[in-house]
Amino acid sequence: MSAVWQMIISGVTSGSIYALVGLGLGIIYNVSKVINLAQGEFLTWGALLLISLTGWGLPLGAAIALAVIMTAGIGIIFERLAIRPAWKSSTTVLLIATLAVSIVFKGIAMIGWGKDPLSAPSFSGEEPVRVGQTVIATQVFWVVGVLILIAALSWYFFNRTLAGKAILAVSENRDAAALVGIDVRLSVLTAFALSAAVGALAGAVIAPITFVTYDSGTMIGLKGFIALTLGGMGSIWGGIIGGVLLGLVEALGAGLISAQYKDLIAFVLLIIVLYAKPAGILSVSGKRV
Amino acid sequence: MDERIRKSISRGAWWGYLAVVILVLIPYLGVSKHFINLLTLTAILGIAVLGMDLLMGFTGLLSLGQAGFMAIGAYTSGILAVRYELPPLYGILVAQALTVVISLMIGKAVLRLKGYHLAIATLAFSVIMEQLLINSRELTGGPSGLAGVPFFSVGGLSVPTGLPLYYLTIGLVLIIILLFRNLTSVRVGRAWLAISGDETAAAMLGVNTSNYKLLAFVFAACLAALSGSLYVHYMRFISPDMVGMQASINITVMTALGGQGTLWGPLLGVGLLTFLPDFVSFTQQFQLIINGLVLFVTIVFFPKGISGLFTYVYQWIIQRIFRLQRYPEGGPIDNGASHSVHK
Amino acid sequence: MEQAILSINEVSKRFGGLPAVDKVSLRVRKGQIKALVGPNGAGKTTLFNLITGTYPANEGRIEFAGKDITGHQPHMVNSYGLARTFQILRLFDKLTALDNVKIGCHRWTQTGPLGGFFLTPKVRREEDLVREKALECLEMVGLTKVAGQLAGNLPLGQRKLLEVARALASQPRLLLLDEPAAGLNDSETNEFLGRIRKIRDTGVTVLLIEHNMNLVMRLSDEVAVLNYGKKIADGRPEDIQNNPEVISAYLGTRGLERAEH
Repeated sequence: MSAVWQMIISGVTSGSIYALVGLGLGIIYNVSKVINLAQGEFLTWGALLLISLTGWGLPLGAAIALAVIMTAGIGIIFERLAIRPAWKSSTTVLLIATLAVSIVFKGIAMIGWGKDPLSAPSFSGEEPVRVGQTVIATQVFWVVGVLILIAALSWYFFNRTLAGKAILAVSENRDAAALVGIDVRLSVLTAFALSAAVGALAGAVIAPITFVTYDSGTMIGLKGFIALTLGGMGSIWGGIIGGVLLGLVEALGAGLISAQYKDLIAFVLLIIVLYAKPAGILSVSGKRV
Repeated sequence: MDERIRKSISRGAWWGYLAVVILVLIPYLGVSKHFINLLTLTAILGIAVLGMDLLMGFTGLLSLGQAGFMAIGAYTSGILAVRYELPPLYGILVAQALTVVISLMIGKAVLRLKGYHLAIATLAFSVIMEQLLINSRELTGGPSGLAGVPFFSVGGLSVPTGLPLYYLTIGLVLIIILLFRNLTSVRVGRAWLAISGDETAAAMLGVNTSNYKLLAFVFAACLAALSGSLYVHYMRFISPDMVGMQASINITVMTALGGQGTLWGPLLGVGLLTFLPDFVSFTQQFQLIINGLVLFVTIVFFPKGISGLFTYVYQWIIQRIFRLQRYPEGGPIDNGASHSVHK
Repeated sequence: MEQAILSINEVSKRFGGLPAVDKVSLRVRKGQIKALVGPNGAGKTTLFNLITGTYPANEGRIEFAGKDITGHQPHMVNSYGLARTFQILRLFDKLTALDNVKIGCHRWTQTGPLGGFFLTPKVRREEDLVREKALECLEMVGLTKVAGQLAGNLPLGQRKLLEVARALASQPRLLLLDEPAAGLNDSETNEFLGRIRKIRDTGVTVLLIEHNMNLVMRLSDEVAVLNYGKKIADGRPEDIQNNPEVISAYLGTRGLERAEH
């Protein structure tokens, strides 16, 4: 039984990360209809910046804050330099444009941090917590805690603040939002900055439990895309639900069937959900789209 | 000037003949063997990309999974040649048959999806293929791949990588371009273009959209598989990552980069991505950055790709020099439409 | 009595519980021009979408030329000889006007991929025929001059006509036109009127949605009026004009009251 608990814990951990990537993708997608294939790079940069900043002796809190702020800045530059020129392009063009940006990001990360895998020390010591026979690394609490914190903050932001409501309005209907005086471009810019910040924070909290290289972002970005598709692209929350589900299914599948089939299971799950509910598990059936 | 000549100049048909002549003569212009091999590779990958062009450029379906079908071609050909010592043509035939069956099944399942959903579903197919290949060690050799694939051969006559394979693949590409140029200019091609333009309108004009989408999907899959079969004999080795997720993404990128909707454009995209690493290999460090920037600038500032840029420059020139009427951009141009305009 | 080419029996469609079309019955007789009028949101376009199979009806039965076509898919419906235009135009903007119309010829042509690869004589003959027919349809709406231009570059009036030509190319027996004259100026509207009559004279039955009452009165043999998803009147134009319920629906005595509350 404790083996299954172990799998669930590992599933929730990776699921939380997928959820954070999915949330970031969902925010950008809903505002701009762009699937940002460079979303995984925000994670890589958050992790790599944290590793360097703590390496230079900065206290942990300051390092995290700085890594997140710097990555949000990168998100803003990304939107200004890359998305705005391509704003009126087709789906394919936008998709490939973000892919191109992700390649550039990888290239810069490779020059800055080299090709070797890097890792950060655990935030709260290396001694794990034991619950019965189940062993939980302290970093797991950080990861899940960050997801809960971000989810709560996002809920507050999108439901209680003017800027958040403006972004939601833009995602509902861009033209109508513009008509009532909402600055659509500012909303898109904000979405990119937020999304980059969320990605960087996710990267920072996983830096201690995984090895990060300049090209780690590709697969994790794709997993986030799957998470968003599973949950439903039309909702900002789809990515969170889909991410946790994906993490759990992967971990249980890897544990109960075979670790070799971990990626296979993720993509098979995606195909099944797309076949049964193309608009994601959060979608209401029978709704006109 | 004779009307027909005017038209063919204006439409740039002469470029096609010129390109063929250059491609035939190029091995005798003192280029290196390496260069010829890269051209061969361009032609081989070009076949998969042509298929992608039918799917994306003509029918408007965004796929990120074409390497999954390339994998079927490459591994069927590779396994039959290495494990059963069958001649390559058998490998191609079996691979094509297998691809038709699999692509019909996959197509039926995923083609009711649109846009990003279709893109990620096809990507999932490609990843699943890659994972299956990695995990079926006895048959495929697993992650370390399948080595010892013989040269391509036709009827016992070996076609080694180098000049012979170069001419064979170039010939094949030209034939495929001709066939699909014909097909896309008549009823089937018009139905595809209609679906790409507006699916609802197409259906209301009697086009059975699901069948025509499936047809494009199967053609694209078969071309990808053919490309895979040739690829394995060219490389004489195959491993899952060579026809994995990254390869899938590359096929889509090359198609968009070259310019969708023209059959020759995407080949330029393949050429660019095949030769570019060679040109920028002087700087290992900046290679990724340069690749990304080239891709970004091309796709964002020339949405019709390199071919769009070419067409624009070409038409600008002939307009100035020959004072010919400029044809409308994009889309196939009807043979006789200019008649009524000239009158 | 003349034969009904289209007969709709008690058809309903609800969106999220709200009835958009409510037990509507309608007959269109062969060779006539029938107009479907009513205030915005009366369910006219929804009725068109039900006829053409864009979405299924919740209840009721639709017959075309004696055949039950309820719930058939759009491409099937077209294959029986029914074509339509769209209120919000759905042209293939990146193709030339002529190619747009050629796609309309899909229904009665049949060559497949194999012939297409090799441009067999059969395919070439078919292509010649398609071209001839397409030019004929362009001619019928007076667009021969712009055959080689991209549909996306044409002005609104010509785009509307192009949609008609494209629908005609499928050689329909019944043509559904969704607000074909909206946005046209007076002289264009007059020209349009003549063209629709000419099309009818070639044997095509026409059912059109139109807001321009002047045009409807001059053009149609019969008029049906929808209001809030229900049919409130059906008959000859002069009878409809004097129908009190129609007048109140149009002048909005009831509508105004509702709006005020």
